[in-house]
Amino acid sequence: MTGLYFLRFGLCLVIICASGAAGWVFSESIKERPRQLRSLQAALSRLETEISCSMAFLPEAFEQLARFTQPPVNRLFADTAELLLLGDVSIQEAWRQSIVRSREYLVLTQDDEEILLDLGDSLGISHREDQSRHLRLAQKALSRQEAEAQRAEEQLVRLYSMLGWAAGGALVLMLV
Amino acid sequence: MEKKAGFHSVLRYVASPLREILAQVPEQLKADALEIRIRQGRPLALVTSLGIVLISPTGQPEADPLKGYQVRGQDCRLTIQLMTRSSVYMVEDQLVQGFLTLPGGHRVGVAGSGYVEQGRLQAVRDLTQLNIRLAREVLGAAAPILPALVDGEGRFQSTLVVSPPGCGKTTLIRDIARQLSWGKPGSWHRHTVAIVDERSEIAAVWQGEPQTDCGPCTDVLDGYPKAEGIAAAIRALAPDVVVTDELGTRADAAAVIQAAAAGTAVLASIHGDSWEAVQKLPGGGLLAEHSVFRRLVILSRRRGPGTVEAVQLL
Repeated sequence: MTGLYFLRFGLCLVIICASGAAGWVFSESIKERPRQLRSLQAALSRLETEISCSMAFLPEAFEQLARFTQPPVNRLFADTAELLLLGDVSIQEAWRQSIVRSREYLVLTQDDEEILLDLGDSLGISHREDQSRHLRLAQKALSRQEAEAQRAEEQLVRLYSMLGWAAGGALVLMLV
Repeated sequence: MEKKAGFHSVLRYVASPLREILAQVPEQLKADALEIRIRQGRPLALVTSLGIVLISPTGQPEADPLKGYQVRGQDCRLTIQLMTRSSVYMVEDQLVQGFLTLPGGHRVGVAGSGYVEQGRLQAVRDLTQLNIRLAREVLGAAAPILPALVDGEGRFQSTLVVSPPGCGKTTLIRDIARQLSWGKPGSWHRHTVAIVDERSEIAAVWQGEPQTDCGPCTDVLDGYPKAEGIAAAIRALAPDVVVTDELGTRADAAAVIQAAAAGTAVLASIHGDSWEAVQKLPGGGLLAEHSVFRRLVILSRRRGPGTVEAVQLL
């Protein structure tokens, strides 16, 4: 009798913990988007420096970004650099392909992607001042997305964490 | 004489649809090609010493312009990206001047829509007209005349190459510079040479490295305006010989006079067909007045580019 009691108690504990953990994981993914957007802005700011001050060619500039940007965002730049160094592909195409591939490891929204794709249309094809202008515009747009993501984060993270635990508790009550 | 031409070596810098067509061009035509002309909405063409040859979509010579391969906008855009490594901003100064340099010393004349600010061309957009001039480095071009350009002790004497356009003056001064830089025991010393290459035509520097053989003791001041480059070379590099192409203005002539006064020999070229014609030019008169040059080489294309009409002592 005592054994069965302990088994039920253990099971309830597992359900509550699993549900709480699921809530936590979900809330972490909400936190991840602003982090990635911040990382992207920092990378674009560095790209602006590489173009206007270091006078680097884009394939090498993207290699630098891949080295100095935090994972997983650095993969976006590593993939683009790799495609450019293989040659025979335009920067627009290399950037677009890398963004499509990034859906596997980044948590960006369609609006975030649009900003990056728009930037890709201008990358490398004009003079330095124009490049800086486009990069700054993209940073500003990403910053707006980040602010919006941050607001969502504040509202939802606590909610999802709480919901996780609450849903676990509710499930246990129903089972009991 | 060894001629270095590179039809195949430029193909990697043109968009793949064009590359596939150009790869099918008959071998003899490839060997004769001097230029590849890529113009949006117009037929792909090659220029040989015999004239313009339009190219069909299968890479064959085509007489009818409408049946030639019509170059598309995306062909031009991708070609520019391949030529600039997706970094047009790195070559904006060259684009404003109307050319790009490729590895191997090939030069690309470019034209598009100009962007003018305060009356000056600031940038060029929509680069839809590209003219790839294949590098033709002729090693040994200067061999027949070089002994006449040195004194009895093997020291180079200041020389002016006078030539109408397209007669091989750049090829000649490049080879003189190369051979002076190498030296030839018993004939002439090994000279330290500084090439002031305002339009990247002599050394064809690409990412900091000369793409033509300029010799082992040669410095290249790439993209420097002539007058500033000559002054910088004398000040910083102490060369035996300063080399520059296409003297024109009085400022160019003044810089050459200053170099000569500093005891540096000068090898330069100027447009013209005779010493008399040269003296009528703004800079030419000044050069004659100061007796800068000791030797004069007159070129023509009577028996093809690089025909030496005369070597005169001044």
